[in-house]
Amino acid sequence: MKKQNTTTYGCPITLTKTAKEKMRELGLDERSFFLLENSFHVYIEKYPQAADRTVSVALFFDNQASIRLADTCKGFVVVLHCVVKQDRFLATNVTSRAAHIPLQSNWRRPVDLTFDLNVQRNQQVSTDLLNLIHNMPVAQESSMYVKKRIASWEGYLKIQERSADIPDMTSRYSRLIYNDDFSRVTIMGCQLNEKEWKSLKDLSVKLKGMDQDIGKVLKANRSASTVEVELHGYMEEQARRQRLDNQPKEVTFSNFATLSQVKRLRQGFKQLEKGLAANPELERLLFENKPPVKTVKKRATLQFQNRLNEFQQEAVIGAMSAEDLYVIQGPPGTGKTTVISEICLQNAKAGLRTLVASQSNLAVDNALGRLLANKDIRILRVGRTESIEEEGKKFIEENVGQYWKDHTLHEANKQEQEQLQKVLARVEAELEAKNKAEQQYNEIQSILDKYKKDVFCAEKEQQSAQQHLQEIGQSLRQLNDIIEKDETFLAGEPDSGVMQKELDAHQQAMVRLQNSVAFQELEDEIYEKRQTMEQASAACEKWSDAVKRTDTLTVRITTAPKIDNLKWIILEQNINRSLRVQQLIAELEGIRREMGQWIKLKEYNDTLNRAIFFVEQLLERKHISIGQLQQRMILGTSVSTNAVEIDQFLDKLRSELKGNSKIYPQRLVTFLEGLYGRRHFVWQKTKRLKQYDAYKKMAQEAIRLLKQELIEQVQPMQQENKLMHQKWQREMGEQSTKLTILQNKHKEMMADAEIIPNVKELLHQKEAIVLDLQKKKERYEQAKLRVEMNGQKRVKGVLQLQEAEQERTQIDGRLAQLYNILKEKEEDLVPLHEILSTEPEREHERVLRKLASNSFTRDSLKQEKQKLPLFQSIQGMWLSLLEEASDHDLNEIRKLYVQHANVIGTTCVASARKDFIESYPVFDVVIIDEVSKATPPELLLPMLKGKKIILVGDHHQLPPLLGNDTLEETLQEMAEESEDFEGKAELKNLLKESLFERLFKNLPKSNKTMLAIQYRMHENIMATITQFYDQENERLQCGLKNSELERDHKLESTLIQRNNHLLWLDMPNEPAFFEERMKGGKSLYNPAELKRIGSLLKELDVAAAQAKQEGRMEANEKKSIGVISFYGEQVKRIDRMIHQELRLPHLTIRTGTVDRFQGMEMDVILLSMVRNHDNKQDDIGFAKDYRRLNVALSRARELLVLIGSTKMFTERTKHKDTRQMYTNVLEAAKKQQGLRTLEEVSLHE
Amino acid sequence: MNKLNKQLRSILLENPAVQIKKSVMWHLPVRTYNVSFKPVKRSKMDILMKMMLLTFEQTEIRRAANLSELLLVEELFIADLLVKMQRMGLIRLEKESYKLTSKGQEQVKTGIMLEEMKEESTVLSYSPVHDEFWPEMAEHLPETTEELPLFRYANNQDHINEDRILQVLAERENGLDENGFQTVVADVNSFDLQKVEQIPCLEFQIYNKEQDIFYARVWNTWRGRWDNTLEKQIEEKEGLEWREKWIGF
Repeated sequence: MKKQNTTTYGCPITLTKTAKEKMRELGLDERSFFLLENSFHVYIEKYPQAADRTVSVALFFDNQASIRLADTCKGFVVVLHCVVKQDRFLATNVTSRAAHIPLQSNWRRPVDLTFDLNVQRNQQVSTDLLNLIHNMPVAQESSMYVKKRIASWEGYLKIQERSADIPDMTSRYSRLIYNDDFSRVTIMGCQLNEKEWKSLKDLSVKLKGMDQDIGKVLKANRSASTVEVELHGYMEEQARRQRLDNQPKEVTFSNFATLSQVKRLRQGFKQLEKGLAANPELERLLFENKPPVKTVKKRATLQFQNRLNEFQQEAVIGAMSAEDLYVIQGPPGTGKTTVISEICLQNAKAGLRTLVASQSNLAVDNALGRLLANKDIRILRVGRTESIEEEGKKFIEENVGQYWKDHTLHEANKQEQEQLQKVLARVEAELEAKNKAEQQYNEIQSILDKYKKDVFCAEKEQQSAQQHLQEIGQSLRQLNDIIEKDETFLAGEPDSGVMQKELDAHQQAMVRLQNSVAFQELEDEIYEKRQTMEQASAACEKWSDAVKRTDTLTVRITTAPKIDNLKWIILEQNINRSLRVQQLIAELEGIRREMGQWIKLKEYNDTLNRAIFFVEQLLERKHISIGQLQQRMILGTSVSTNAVEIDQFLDKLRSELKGNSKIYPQRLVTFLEGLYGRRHFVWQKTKRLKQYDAYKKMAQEAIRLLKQELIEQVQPMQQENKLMHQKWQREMGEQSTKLTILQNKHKEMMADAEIIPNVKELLHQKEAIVLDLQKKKERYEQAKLRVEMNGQKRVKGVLQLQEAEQERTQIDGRLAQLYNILKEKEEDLVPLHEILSTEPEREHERVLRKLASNSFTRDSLKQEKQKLPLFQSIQGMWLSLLEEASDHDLNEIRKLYVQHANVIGTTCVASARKDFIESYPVFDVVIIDEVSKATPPELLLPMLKGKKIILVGDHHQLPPLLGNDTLEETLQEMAEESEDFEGKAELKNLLKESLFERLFKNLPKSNKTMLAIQYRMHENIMATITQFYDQENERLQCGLKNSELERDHKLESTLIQRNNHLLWLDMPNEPAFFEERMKGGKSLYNPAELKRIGSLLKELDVAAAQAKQEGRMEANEKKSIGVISFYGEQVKRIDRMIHQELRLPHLTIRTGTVDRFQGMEMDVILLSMVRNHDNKQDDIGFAKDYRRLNVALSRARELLVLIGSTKMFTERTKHKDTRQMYTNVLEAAKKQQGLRTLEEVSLHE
Repeated sequence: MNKLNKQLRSILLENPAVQIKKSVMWHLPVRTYNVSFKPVKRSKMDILMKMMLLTFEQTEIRRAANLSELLLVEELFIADLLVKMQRMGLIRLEKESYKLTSKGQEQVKTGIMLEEMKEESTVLSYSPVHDEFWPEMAEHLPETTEELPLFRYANNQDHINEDRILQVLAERENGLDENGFQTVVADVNSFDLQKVEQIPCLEFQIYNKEQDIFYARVWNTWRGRWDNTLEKQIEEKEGLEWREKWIGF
């Protein structure tokens, strides 16, 4: 809220009738009202412009500025609604509002107005006032702007409001059952209706008869009628005393806490809408895409109290120089808290008041706890005492008196200085003594060194002599062994002559056997030859037959009388009917046909001639001349006819002649004529044919040709047959010669070969025996030779041995001498050692350091002492007063401290508590830590109070948690519950890019910085998370000068080497190692990983014990180990295992989900990754969020061990980016030799 | 004692998942000390204001800054108090420096008034196992018929010294009276061991079969509550053995 020096303006005013009436209704008289004060303190609010462009405003009369006004208007504020004219204000209405509502806002302007009711004609409203009104924002419009923009945040409230309107529920119950450590209680036998059972989760629980809430509902089990409650820490004591059990058994579940929280968040929205933010530009900074930050005028030059690296310095300077908003991104372990501490200190020095706020109490306490104790800083922790951690407790109101006392005492305690001086003197004397001793020591040492060198040489000689001896002895022994072995061998064997005889006998037998083999083979050959002979003679016969056959055929062809015989032969022998043969046969056929015709015609001619003769005779008998007839006939007309007709004609003649003895001659003549005609026709026909002989000749010729042709065809066949026949004859000749040769041979062999059965087998056996015998003989001879040679060697070796032994004896003598000298000298050293083993250096250094740090105070005090000796006594008095001071004595100081507190810490939501707002309405600077873990509505609450806002966070770590779920999970749940949740889309956008991230990206360089040097992790562990910051301008670096030294885990085991800082214990992607799901639940666990972690913890415990034994760790030190997992159920099981099944006296273990571990750090972190399956539909759930992985990987200081399936996470995961991110981790592990597969793992089990 | 045992058993067995594997009784040593101390009575006055009055009485101070340097106290506080003391009429600013008014001088006198009081004595109870001082017994110790054995992890540690006793006494005895005077324990004159009491405790070794966990419940009759310190000690030392003994591993 802006405070301005107000100017007084003259303001002519008139009131309308309505206004006057309204005023009277309020019990005021307008004349006397305006006469109450000379000038009124008024807040102007501008209305939106009317259609006619007239400007109107509301004037809020500030009661607090005027006692008289406050007296007149008791409990209300007068509001005048006016139209602004050039010459006056015209009041059109008068209203009132409750006095407790604040009048100041960023939309209103405070002014002092002197009202003048007697408006003159030429009067004017002051131009300055008109300009001021002209330039001021319209309140409604500004509110609308905020309303519109802030709507996108509604989703967050909706989430929290989901179950907010639940009325209190009350139920009887039967009894209470506590868990093992009284952290939870189960309320048995609750009686609630169905709807109530559903809405129980997270409600606060109160028992009748108890003042305070006992806890929060964890789980409701309707079928068992039980409600599991997580008890508040302060209830454990009560529960152990059984105070909870003796109550009237009535429980109330209430949602009050959530409701009031949501109410506060809503109130934040309203305040922003009403323009009540301390920074008038807040809404624009929050909602504009490019936040309109004021340009930095001048970079502050600062002297730092903390040791800061370049990035931290940049952050502090930037934050101090920025006017309104500064954003610091702090990856894990980069010293955010140091930066916050330094900014607080710088603010305090500059006289500014700072609010340090965070989402969680823990973060607030952490930040305050690390602030330097400095008299300029007065820290106050505000909040409910029971929820404040130990670190913050000393800063709560009731303790600050004590804190102040301790601090002042410490500052004032100057006696320490003198004591230190004394100690210094003593230590310096000791140092001198030590120096002397050192000199002496060095002298003796140098002598010692010389002798030691001699001893060393002699020892070396001795060693080499010894070795030589050993070598000789060894080779002698070997020789002996060999000789002995060979000799036994030779003794056991018959000598070589016998062997040779045996060999000869066998060889003879072999010759016999070979002969027999050859004989048998010969017989086989002869048999074979005979077979061939028989075949050849058979073939010979066959071919001679063929030759005979063809000869006969030729004869048959030549002798064949007729064509038909030839045809038969062709058919029978299947002779090729060549064209010529066919022609000849056709020709013959034609000749034969014509010859047939000729014979037929001759027959008819003869018949007709006989008939003619007969008829002529008849006629002659009748004396009828036939000459004429003959004449005619010669000239002749022929009667065309055919054989049948002639036969009929003749039959007719015959029958007429036979039956009719008396025939008319005329009739006969006709017949005769007919006969003549017909004979003539036959003659004519015959004329066309050749003579019969000619035909005969032609036929003979054709047959001759045909025969010739056929014989020609047969001839090649015959030729071939003859050739074949000859060939086989020759073959037979050859074979028989061969056979004769073989038979001769056979005869020869018969004399000296015998037939032995199984001859070949016997031969093989013999061959083997002979080979064996030969080898044996060779071996025998070699052994003999060896024995001879080795015998010679042995003699030589024995000689060498004797020489070497002599040499050694000499060396031994020399060594004994040297040892004696050494012993003497070392005895001299013992007393010096004692002096040297004391370490005054360290103390010296410490004292010097203390002295240096106090030198400034000391010097100034010295001066004062000289100037005012009295001061000494006053200071002495002050010290004793302080030491004796009781709480009562510090009461006033406490009040002063609270009043002047300049660093105030509280949670975001608590910063909106009514009492807090009243005590601290505005801060010069508001620092919000862990911004990324809070929702925007939560952030808004502290932001409203700051003129300047500094945000510290890391958007690469996890976003806000709601209850036990992440925002995403809650959102998912809501989306499943109802389809029509309005804010869902907007919320999703916000989830994609948080407020912090957007601001960090969009602010100019002058208003942001990233802390890029981390001091938590060994650089090898850091290597796994640098990937998440690749997109930023700065690379994440390791600020440890020597990681190996500063982050030495000091443990050594089979799995873990001293130089291992990042391990991945690979679990196979096989059913035996798969995740499992809780019965009836949704959380997952992995029994194989659980087992693995159990054995790993045991191994770590043993390693820690060993480290203690070997002096690497202090005897009472414990290794701090965090066992974390992506899944709550797995954490639960790990926790049970650690408490119930393992004894780990050298470890302190904390367990938790990755989400809960954000902000914490441990020496060693074991991460159980749980997911492992082969379900193609499924993925890796929570583990795919890179921010969750970032948090998981960045908790460990010295050693990080991942337990999970590399295959599952680097190959089976659905999204490419996710696979890549886990592959990067795996690669980092591999590069450091940190991958352990199960084979290796199980070897160690 | 039997009655108590029965009662506790029935409370524990209200949880159907719970089995009491074994129950034992033993006693815990609690030492009782006789302490004599000296309280003083003095006026209640803010120490910084008192110190400022004393300083003004002895030396000349003109600026808040000087006093701030001298006392190593925030200048703001001193400035505030200067205004307040002037308003109350305890001091006034003269030419060179602040001076006490007569009212102021009166105030100094009463402010440093110390009235020694008679020596008093009281009884403090201390449990070495817990290393804690305990208030008076909650209720009467139950009667025991038999002799109970000593707690098997009892120890003889003794971290008692005068400072600790003074602190305990200050918490108990310091107070304000109606006239604005406060009584403060100034010194511990002596403390003597009076006796060692044997406090009966009832130990139950419990198996919750639903969750498969073993734990101990120990009822401390002095404090009238389940004693987490003792429970933790026993669990830490024996938890694994119980598992082996009763269900194997």
